[in-house]
Formats: sequence, structure tokens, C-alpha cells
Amino acid sequence: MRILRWLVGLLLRRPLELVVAALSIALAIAFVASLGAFLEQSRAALTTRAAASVPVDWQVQVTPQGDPTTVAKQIAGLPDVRAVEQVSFAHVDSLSSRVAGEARRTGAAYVVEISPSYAATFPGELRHLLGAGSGSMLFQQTAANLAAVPGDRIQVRTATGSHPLTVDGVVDLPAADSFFQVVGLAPGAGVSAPPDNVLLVPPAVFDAVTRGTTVVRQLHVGFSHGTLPTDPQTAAIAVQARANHFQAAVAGGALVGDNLGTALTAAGEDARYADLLFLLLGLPGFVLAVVVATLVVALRSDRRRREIALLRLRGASVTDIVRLVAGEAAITAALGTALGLPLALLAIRLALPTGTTLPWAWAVAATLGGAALALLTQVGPAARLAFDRNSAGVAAEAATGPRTGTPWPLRAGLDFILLVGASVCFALTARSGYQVVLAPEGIAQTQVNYAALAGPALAWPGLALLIWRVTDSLVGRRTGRWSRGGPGTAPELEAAALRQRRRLIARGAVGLSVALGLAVSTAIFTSTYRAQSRIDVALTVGSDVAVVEPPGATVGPEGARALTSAPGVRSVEPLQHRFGYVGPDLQDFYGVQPRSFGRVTALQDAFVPGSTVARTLALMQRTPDGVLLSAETLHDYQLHRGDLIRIRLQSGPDHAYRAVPFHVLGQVTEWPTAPKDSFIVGNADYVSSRTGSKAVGTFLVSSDTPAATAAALRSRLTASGSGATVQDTSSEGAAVTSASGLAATDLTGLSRLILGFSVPLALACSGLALLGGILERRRALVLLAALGATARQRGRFLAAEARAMVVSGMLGGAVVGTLISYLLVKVLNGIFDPAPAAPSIPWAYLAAMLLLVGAVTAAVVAGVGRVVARAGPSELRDL
Amino acid sequence: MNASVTEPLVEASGLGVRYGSTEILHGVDLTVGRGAHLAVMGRSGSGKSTLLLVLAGLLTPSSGRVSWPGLSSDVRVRRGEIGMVFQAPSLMPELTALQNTTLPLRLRGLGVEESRAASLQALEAIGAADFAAALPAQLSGGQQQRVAIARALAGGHRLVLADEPTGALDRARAHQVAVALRDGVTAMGGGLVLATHDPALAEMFDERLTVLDGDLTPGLSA
Repeated sequence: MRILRWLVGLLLRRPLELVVAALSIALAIAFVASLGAFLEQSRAALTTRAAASVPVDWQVQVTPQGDPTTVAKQIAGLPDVRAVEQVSFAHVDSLSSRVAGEARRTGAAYVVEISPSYAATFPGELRHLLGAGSGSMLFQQTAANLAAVPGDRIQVRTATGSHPLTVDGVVDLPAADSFFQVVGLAPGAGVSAPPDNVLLVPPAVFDAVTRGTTVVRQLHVGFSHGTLPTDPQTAAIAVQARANHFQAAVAGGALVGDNLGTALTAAGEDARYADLLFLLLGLPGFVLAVVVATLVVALRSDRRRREIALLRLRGASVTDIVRLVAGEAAITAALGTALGLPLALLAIRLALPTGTTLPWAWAVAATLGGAALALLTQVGPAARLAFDRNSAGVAAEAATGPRTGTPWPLRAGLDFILLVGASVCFALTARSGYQVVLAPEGIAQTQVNYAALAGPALAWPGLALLIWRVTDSLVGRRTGRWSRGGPGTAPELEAAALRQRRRLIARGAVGLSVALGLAVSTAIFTSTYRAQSRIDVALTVGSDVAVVEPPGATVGPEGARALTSAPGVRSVEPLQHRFGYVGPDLQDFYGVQPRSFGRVTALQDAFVPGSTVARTLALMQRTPDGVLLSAETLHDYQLHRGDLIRIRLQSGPDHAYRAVPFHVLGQVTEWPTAPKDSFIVGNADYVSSRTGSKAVGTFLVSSDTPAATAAALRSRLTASGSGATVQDTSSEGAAVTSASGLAATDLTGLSRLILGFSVPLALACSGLALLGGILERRRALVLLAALGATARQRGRFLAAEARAMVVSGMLGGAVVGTLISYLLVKVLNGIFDPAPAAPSIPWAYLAAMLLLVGAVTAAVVAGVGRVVARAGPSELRDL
Repeated sequence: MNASVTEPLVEASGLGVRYGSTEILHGVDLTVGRGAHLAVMGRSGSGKSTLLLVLAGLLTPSSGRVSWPGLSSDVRVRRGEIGMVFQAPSLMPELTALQNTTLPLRLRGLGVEESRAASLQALEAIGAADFAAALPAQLSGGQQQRVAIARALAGGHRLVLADEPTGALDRARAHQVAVALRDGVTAMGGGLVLATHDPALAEMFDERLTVLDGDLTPGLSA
């Protein structure tokens, strides 16, 4: 009954305090629940994307001991099998052609048997370029080597003789790496460089042209992915277990090339990055939400201490007191849950991709966490006080003022210890090259170097405590002597009040610093990520728009003129694309015009380590035979700047590879349209003169309106029948992902959540902390009114406190945000592709955030302070 | 009732106050003049505190009118001319005893040194100078109340309204403080209204009224 009376009294007398406490619990619940939804959604999205990216899930190779029919039956008995196609590979001596009286001959080649339905069953494996979409088709590079086009006759040369056939079409093999993998090696280890010469033929032709050769038979299997576990790592393990089971069942009759398992394993690595993002960005946010809830409750602790002390003096037992406070905590938790879960649903709807749901497990966990938070923050201090048997101490508590002592972490110098620890951990991580996610070859289980997270993990509390120390020290020293004070003001008394409330002010400032720091660091991190993603897309496409000539095309640089008239085009730049041998290693070779290449594409200094883009292009201009090589090439072939290197390039009308001398200029890590692995960049004019061919592979187009320009060029090129394809950044953007494989949408969801919650959390830290402080000082404000203080004079006391808290909080937030974002960008270096040269700072968001915090603070001080200080009959009677 | 009306400071006529459906005061007529020392007696909840709040202008009556002919017509200035001592020690917890005493003077625009001197003098008069530098939390309830009284005296208020200011003090200390308060107000040339339920304390005052069933009656009727 007493509990009920207490609770009713609480609801009637202090509804605002209760709502404020419940709101802070609601924020914590909503934040945890929506972060859980993000984790589940991002894992499921990674699994879906990884599974969808695999053209063929399994390549089951029948061993010499195996029987294709038996193996096919075993496959049919597997669960979720969607499609099975038989594919056979034969290795032949060469392919040859005679075009316009000129004979051409390749090296060893693959002849692959595929059914007419293969392209439709596994559309990711073949990309039709020219001629018919079925029949005998040449791989585009082979077509270029043979200078063959649809309708030409070629010869397949084997040990038993030469077999003629007619080319029906030309195709690209986008997944050639896995298509030609060596099946039977450890997962992912069988992938090798694709062959240069490939001929695809229908079953009716295969036996005739591969007579006398060894044939390898495979069954390409596609599964339904709907039943895969949502976590990519779990899915990878399940798929690999299925493969193991199958291989055991066929008892050595077949080996599995598990492309699906490999892709899911790689996605598992990406999922670890998602987990890291959760830990590095989400966890501080969650801790902040807890801190906010604690701060709000703590701001009422002085009043609570007095209440408990009075209850003790009036004979209430410890059990009575704990029950009373637990009842209050239960109301707070219930109200917090009632507000928090709908808030979580709203956040999920606004921040995460459509269709994302709130997992019930996370909803329950968040609710329980919220209840625990309410109980711990309220019952804990109350019980501690209630257990205090020192009656004199309890009596003193009844008339106590705010605490001013230095908290033990500061007395112990914990802030300095944590920051030194963070610096050491960060230095060690830097020495290891920021290797955070480790993916050992051939092992499904990725490993996270959690020690690398120790830097940021120690920096957060270290910085928070340091801000506490600095704020406490600065506010404690304030005398008001230098404050502006006219008649009717008492700056020295305002300063004295501040000094006594410095612990509360420092606590609020720490909360605000951490909230702003979280927002600032998240904003800088995601802004940098987006900037790098845009660069990634631009690098993949080459420029705003890219016109890629078909294999064998001989269009020279003059072809650019025809493209300049398209709408939105600013400039067009030819990019020569050839293949060149460095020793036995075939690499992509890009020929550029150094004087003008920078006009169409954004090159970063980070692309040319040890130099700048401007210096490198100038050097290329001065050195016509200069080339830039990848680090791997420089290392593997022991090449240094100035060294002579002979690269074999296809030259002249016979397309034969001939050695061309070059001089090494330096290293290159990224280049527009270049692959991730080794490639070469040189002078286009020099290559043209030495090979006798001006053929340009790609025209890079800078445009104000990439989509419109691309559309116009597409229709123009289709009409001309040139066979060129057009790519642009706006349509490629969705398809290109970062090095970590996390699509931009994933990080956008997380950043939206964190930025969205850090606003109310920052506002909570400033607004709620001030509001709580004002409520706490209600009696003092009424007293001031009774002593004759005007609203303005009362406001000055509050404003001084608000100013100290907000200014300290904002400065602290800037420091925390800058340092943490630096640590994040460095520690999560692997998530960026390419690595950023400098962080990107979203000034507009940060300015809006600071303005909002300032405005809310002013509104709370002006509005609530006036209302609370109103001296009504009941308030005056309380004096 | 007229208490030393040579120079009226506050006049109440037909005063009535209701809290919801409860009538606290009704038809109260009272004039307090300069130099008056008036004790208001009554049981707990009889309306003594309410009467003082109305006389201070902090509470608007439900009926009747209050005027302050001997004080400023400007509400802000008048607030500074009326000193209040509340039932419970009402000090700003963040300020020392001296700073609490200085506060109303500084709010009224007095300089730092001038306020400090007046405050120290008032604390001295009330026997609280020894703990001028102490925070309220470091003081006993009685010491806090003496600081609150010193604050009312230091302000040079023309009208001091004290609501059971000695409730937290022992009898000897209560007598001492009441004398100091009375003498201090006399020295300032102001008027004093003191609410108390202690007849012995009321005997020290020139005039005594009792709040009984919402009315004021002369003498100690409670």
C-alpha cells in the first residue's frame, strides 16, 4: 500500500522527472534494438549478395574413377538443387585462323563443351558480345588474337590433326577465373589466371574437334539460396559441409569446386567488418545511451539521497526503501519500453533498407537491457544509501548540497593511463599494417584481430575522463571576476555556484562530448567511406562515362571527336588498353596521354606512392618510354626506378607479341579501369609508335550528367553498329562495392542509425542534463524568485551552467570526434578501396548539429527555467 | 487590524485565500506600519504562512486587496524592499553563508564590497559570523536558519516577514535570534511580521494576532 501511495505521489508530483528518465531508457532500448536489426539485416544482405554473385554454385568434376551418370544422380538427390549442366573441357595444341590472307595462330587453348541452354541457366558465366548467342563462340581475347569475327573459319589443332569450324559469336567470360579453376584444391585456392585462348562449342561439335585429347567432365550445379542461413559464415560452413557429405557419398568419384562456399566465406569476412563497425561505432553509441540514462537518473540523485535519508530518519527499513525505488524503476522501465520499441521500429523504417524487421530476440534483449538499466541506475544508489547504518551520515544527507569531490578515476589518473594505453595499442596496430580482419587461405572461419580495437576502445573512456578533468578544473577555477556584470548581476556568485556544481557540469559535458564525438567521428568516417566509394566507382568505370570498344576494334584517338558532341560532355580522353608480358606474366597495359589525362578522371596522390599525380604525369611527359608498375611487379622482378624493362606487346598487323623497351618510372597502385592486381601504365604515343597500332580500348568521358550522356552515346553507338559498350558512374554505382564487399547501402544504414541517434543523444546530454539540473535546482530557483530575482537574473544562473556545459561539451566533442575518426579510418583501413589520402569532413552536418544543440540548450534554459522557477503556492510552501 | 499605522507599509482589506475548495483566509483586514512588531499565532495549517506570502506579494489573494503604500509601486523594487525568512532554512546550497547573505543585495544592484560589508554585519548581529565561509551542507539546521535571518536583515528591508524562523532552534537560541531579528528590523526602521506557534516568543512582540478559522483575532487566542 505504501509503495502504491509513493508511486501515485510520484506520478502526480513529478511526472516530468519520470518521463525524462523513461525517455533516456527508451533511447537506449531503441538504439540497441535498431542496431540489432542492422546486424541481422547486414548479415542477411551479405549472404544474399554473396550467393547471388556466384554464377555457378558448384563445379563438380568427375574423377577418372567416377561415373558421370552416378555422380549426376547423387547431385539430383541433394537438397535445393535448382539446375545442373554438363560442361567438358579439352586442352588443344592451338587455334589458328586465316583472315584476309594472313595466317594467325594462338598458343595452347581450351575447347569447352556447353549446352545451348547453359547461358540461360547460368547467365553470369557468359556475356554475349558479337554474333550468335549459341553455337561455336570465341572468347573475346582469343577473337582478338585470331582477328576473327563471327562467320570466319578457324582451325582447332590437336595431336590428331586440324579440325575446321565456323565462328558463330564472340563472348566474354566474366567469371573465367572460377570457370577454369583447378577443382579439388582447398576452397578458393583452385582459382587461377584464366587462359587467353578459349573456344566454346555445342555438344554436337565437341567430340569432333577434340578427338584424341583428354577430356575433363564437370557438372555445374546451381542451388536455391532461399534456405541458406542468414549469417554468411554459418551459411559457408553449411554449404561446405554439404559438399563434404556429397564427396563422401560419391566415394572419390567426383571433386567439388565450391564457388558458393568460397563466396560465402569471403562474405563472412565482410560480415566481420560489419561486426567491427558495430563494435567501433555502435557499441560506443550503446554505451553512450547507457551513460545518458545514468546521467539523467544521476542528476536526480541528490534529491534521491535526501528522500532516502528522510525515509530512513522516519523509520523506513532498507527493504521498504528498495521496494519503493524498485517500484519507481519498474514504472520507468515500463514507460521506457513502451516508448523505446516503437521508436526502434521508426528508426528501422527510416534508416535501414525496406523490409528490415526488428528481430524479436533483439527486441527482448533491448527490453531486458532497458529494465536492467533502470533498476541498476535507480535501485543501486538507493540501496547503497539505505544500507548505510551511520545515522549521523544519513541525517547529514538530508541537508546536503551537490558533491564537489574529485571522482576516484581522476584521482587515480585513469584518463592518462587509458590514453597512453590507447597510443601504444594504436602504434602496435600501425606497425602490423592495420591488419584487422584476417582471412587465412582456404579456411572458412575468418579471424578478427580484436587487439587492434584496443586503441579506440581505450581512447573513448580515456578522452571522456580527460574532458571530465579539464571541465572540472576550468569550472572550478572560475571566479567571475572577469565576467561582464552590470547592476543587478552577481557574476562572482554565479561562478561560486558553478564551482560547487562543477561535478554535475563536468558529467553533462562528458556526455555531450561523447555524443558529439560519436556523431562527428561517424560523420567523418561515413563521409570518407562515401567519397572513397565514389572514387571506387569512378575507378571502375574510368570516368563519369566510359565508351569501351569491342575486341579487335581499331578505332584510334581520333574517335574521341565523334563523342564530344553528346549532351553534357566536358572532355573526352582516349585510354589505350593492351596486354603485355612482363616475363611470363600477362598484364593489362594502359597507354595514356600524360598531358591531358587528368582532365577526365580524379587521380589521387595515393595512387602513386612516393610521389604525386602531378609530378608523375609530368615525369611521364618527359620520359616517353617510361612506365609505372605495380608493387608486386617491382618486387617480384626486382625492378627499380630507371631500370630498363622489355615488355612484350602485340604489335602491327600480325598481332604478334614483340619486346618493346621501357624504363621504370615508379609504382602505381590504382588506375582508372585497371584491375586490382598487376597492371602497367605508359605513354600511349610511344606504345602506338612501337606497335604500329593506334587502337584505343576505351574513351573516358567527363560529363556533368553521366546518365544522360551515357544514354545519348548508347543510342548513337547502337545506331552506328560499332559494338562499343557504354558505362557510367550513376548506373554502375549500385553494383560496385568496396574492398570489404560491404555495399554502400549497408554502411549508409548504420551511419543513419548512429547519426540519427547521436542527435537525440547529444540533445539528451545537453537538454536533458540541463533539464534535470533545473529540476534539481527548482527549490533554489523558487527561492531566488522569492528573494526578488527577476526572470533574467534567475536565467543568468542557469545560463552560466548551460554555457559551461555546452561549451566544454562542444570543444570536447570536436576533440573526441577528430581523434576517434582518425583512429577509425586508420584501423578500418581495409574497408576502404582505395585507401583515403585524407578524411572527408561533412561540415554542413556538423554545423547543423552544433546549432541544434545550442538551440535546444537555449530553449531549455529559457523555457523550462522560467516555468520551473514560477513561484506558485505549493512551491512557496515547500520553501 | 492596525499595527502601528503611523506610516503604513502594507494594507490588506477583506483578504480571502482559497486553495481549491479549501478556504484558508477570509475577510482579513490588516495594516502593518513602519516600526511595527507583529506576532501572528495560529495552529499548523491555520493560514499563517499563506498570510505572509500574500503580504509579501508572492501570492495573489482570491478576494480582497493588498497594497503597499509605504513601499515602491514598482513590483521589482518592492520585492527587494520586503525580506522573507522561511519556515525551513532556505539557502542556496551552492553558496556559502556569506554569499547567501550577499545574494539579495547583489540582485538589487549593490556593489560587491558594500554587499559584503552589510552581510558580515548582519551575520555578526545574529551570531553567525563564525561560519560565514561554510556551505549550508556544513551547517546545522539552526545555523542555516540564522544565516537566512541574517540575509533578511542585511538587505535593509523595510518590511520583514518571518515564517516560524525559530522552529529549528532550541528555546534559548530561538529567543536570542528573535530578539536579534526584532532589534535588527527596528534599527533599519522597518516593520516586522513574525508567524509563530510559540506563545513565549509572541510575548516579545508589541502586538499579537491569532489566525483562527481563517480570521484574524487580536491577542493569543490559539
